[in-house]
Amino acid sequence: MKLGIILVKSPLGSRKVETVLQTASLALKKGNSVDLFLISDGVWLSKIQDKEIKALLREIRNGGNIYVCGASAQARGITEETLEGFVLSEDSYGDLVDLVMEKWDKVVVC
Amino acid sequence: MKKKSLAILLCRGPYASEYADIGVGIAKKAMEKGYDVKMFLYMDGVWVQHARQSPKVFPNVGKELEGAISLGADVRACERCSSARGINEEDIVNGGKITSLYDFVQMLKECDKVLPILG
Repeated sequence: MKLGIILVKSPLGSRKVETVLQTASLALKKGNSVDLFLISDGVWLSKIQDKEIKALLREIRNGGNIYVCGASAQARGITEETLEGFVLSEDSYGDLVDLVMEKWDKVVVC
Repeated sequence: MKKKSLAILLCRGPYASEYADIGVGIAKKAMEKGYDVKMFLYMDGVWVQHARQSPKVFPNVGKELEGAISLGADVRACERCSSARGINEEDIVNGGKITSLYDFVQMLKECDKVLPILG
């Protein structure tokens, strides 16, 4: 099954995002494919240096894409050059509609 | 061919986080792309269809929602959540509806995809 996770929350301040990433990793191990879409404060995940979180992101990247909303990144001063390994989404709502309707089987928003 | 349909459940109000903007933004974009969109506003999500929002710096979510409705999106809000917050028929945007939670069950049964925005 193709799972899509839309991350809106910042990875700092609570462990919710970490829990979501661990869940994504378990979903991968059970043979599903997982994509992440970072939007709003969720784009800060691209800046996190924590080793465990970076390892989880690497796992997810091996089985799917991690998209970053272009407008949210730009608003927070996150530039394209620093987003290596992430897929920059210029038309974020348009791309989200395509992913939700045509690619992903199930969607989770956090 | 029947249009694919999307049901969006929105449980967050506007201006404290971007959940409402994202839900309404996706609803509008999906309508523009030719999908059938149904949206259910639940809990603080019912604030999104309040008619007299006038944010000073943020984009007006109510106006965006009206845009989605004018494109054909079917937007309904929970009656209990609305009345609890003092939101009645005369307080909501043009084309918005205040109905019952049973409508959401119907939306779930009929749609192809569900986007739950619980926050």
